[in-house]
Amino acid sequence: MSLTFKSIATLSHDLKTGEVSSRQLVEQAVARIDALNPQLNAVVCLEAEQALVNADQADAKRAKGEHSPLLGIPMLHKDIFCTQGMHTTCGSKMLKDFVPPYDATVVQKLRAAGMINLGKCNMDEFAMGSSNETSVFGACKNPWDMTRVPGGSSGGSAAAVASGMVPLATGTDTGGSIRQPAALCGITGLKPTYGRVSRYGMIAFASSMDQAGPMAHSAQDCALVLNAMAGHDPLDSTCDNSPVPNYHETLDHPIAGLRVGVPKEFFSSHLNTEVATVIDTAIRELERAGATIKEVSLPSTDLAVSTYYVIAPAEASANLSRYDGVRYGYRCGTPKDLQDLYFRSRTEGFGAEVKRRILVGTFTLSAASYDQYFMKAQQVRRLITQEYDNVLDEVDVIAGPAAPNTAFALNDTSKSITDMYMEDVFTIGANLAGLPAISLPAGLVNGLPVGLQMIGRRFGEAQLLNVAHQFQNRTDWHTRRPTLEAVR
Amino acid sequence: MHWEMVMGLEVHLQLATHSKIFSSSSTQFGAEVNTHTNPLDMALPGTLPVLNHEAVTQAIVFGLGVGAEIGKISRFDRKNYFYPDLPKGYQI
Amino acid sequence: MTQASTVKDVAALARLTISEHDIENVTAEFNQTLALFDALQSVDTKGVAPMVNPCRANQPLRTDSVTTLVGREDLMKNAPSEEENYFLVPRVID
Repeated sequence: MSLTFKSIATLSHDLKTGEVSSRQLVEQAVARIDALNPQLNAVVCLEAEQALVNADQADAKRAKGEHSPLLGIPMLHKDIFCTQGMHTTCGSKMLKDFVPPYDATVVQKLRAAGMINLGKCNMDEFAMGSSNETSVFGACKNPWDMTRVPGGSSGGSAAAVASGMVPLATGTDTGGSIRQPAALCGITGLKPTYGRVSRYGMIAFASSMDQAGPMAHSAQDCALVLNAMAGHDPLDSTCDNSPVPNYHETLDHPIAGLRVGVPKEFFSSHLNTEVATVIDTAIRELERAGATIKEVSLPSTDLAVSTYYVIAPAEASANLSRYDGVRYGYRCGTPKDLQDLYFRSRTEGFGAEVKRRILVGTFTLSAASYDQYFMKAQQVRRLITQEYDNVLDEVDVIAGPAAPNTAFALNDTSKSITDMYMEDVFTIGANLAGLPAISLPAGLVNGLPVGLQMIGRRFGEAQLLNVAHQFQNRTDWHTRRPTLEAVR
Repeated sequence: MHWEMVMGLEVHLQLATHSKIFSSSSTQFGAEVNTHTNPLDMALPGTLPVLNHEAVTQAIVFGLGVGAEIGKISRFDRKNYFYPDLPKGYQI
Repeated sequence: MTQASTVKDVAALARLTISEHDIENVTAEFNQTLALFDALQSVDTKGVAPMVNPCRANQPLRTDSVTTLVGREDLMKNAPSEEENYFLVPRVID
């Protein structure tokens, strides 16, 4: 019986009843990766041997009567999480040979919960991108149409889950990098509230917005994984101390009376009309489930993109200063002096998009520009956050599209840099405000997935997952699979 | 021409804490090279600073001792430059 | 409009080299991104405190105790050039 595409919840049950073993799950996952990855390029590091050892240990635990929802389930980590003893490249030449001597907290937590990590997923370099085309390992392909992008920066993670390699991959989201690839690949991806999940060991891009989250086939699976990922970490000062609810427990709460706000600015000229129709239909479905739909306004929607593209590159420029060829990472050949070491290691080690953002970021932080750009953007950030907070007083969740289009073509040279930045127009607000947001499959346009996005109140993941689960009880979009004809 | 000399003194005072201000590595003098280090001191990717309670306490005690006004809100900025003894490429 | 010379100066601050071949393109892209920021100028932000991050809690503080999470040998494993537990770089002081 094919284990491919089964949810974590189902696999957990099958493991408990003894119908299947962890070893079998891992073997099947490895076989599928071996078969599909040469074409998809979703996985950049695979450690099958160790995974089998861990699987056997999980099976042994189960034989002794130990059981937990994630025990023995195979998964993959986005290559942005430091994994002790396993290459962690962040999709960059700068870290191509880097092997961390420590584990990220997220890695530790999921291992402690019993998950079996098989390796690392492809991603845009240093998490900068919306298409997984800037990776040093080359582009990742969308399993629904391999001439198209899976989205980014967590493109590899999305493609790995969407193609049935593993039921769970971790992702990170700074401007939409979980939600947009989840939407383009037809899976469910959650960006938790800023501070809900520890960032320790997660390679920093924009420290005030980065957040780790689960990418899986369903809200139920995301809830099971978030239970393990979330929680206080003394190693991360921005990590919240409040208790972690059991996200799985509240999935089945009825949503009658839920107030859903639909921002009129999300249905602007940016949004593809066919995608708009799918989103509209999805929102009607929420209404049929008992929610009340209300039009709301987020006038700063477009402004959020400008704000983000001042702040994120600025923070990144400082975070990436450590990559200097001195203590680890890429060092140029025979540097003639210290400055040569710095200039050539960094110029040769970083890709074009990373260098672009470092330039812009360095500029906006410089003395002459600081007030006009960086400080100004931080002020506008506060106004945008207030706007979201005000709307989330009127309604319980905000609903709309996750991305303006379905998956676009690889190597689309007609897209300018700023066109690419506009891919994030609907997702960016939640990162600026630090709010939780989820993307779930809501339909298909010309055979390509469309994601419904919902944004919740601070630490409102339980509600978001509940609404998403209710939607998935009434629809079957999250069970649709790519045929992967081209790969077979 | 009458010239008046104005001189400023930049004084660095190390607070007597057991561990560093942001890293839990030891501050003790005289150890072997690169032993009082942690991933954070090496600026390994993904590492994060956590402020030392005692450093804050001692800074306040010192301030009170010299009759200074203690700021109710303090912020950290990053001062960005490149030097081999500056692993992160910025000072906090 | 930012000039190529300014872009080169900024690049130098970030220890990045832009070749003569690329400078025109890079400057154009740089200006394209900066144009995105124009919209911010017209926003009334009088009296608005800059928002640094979404955290609402106070700064957590760590107890002053010594902990070593990873030993020296493992910390230096990725060193591009090292000798007797020192990281080697080209001479800094003449």
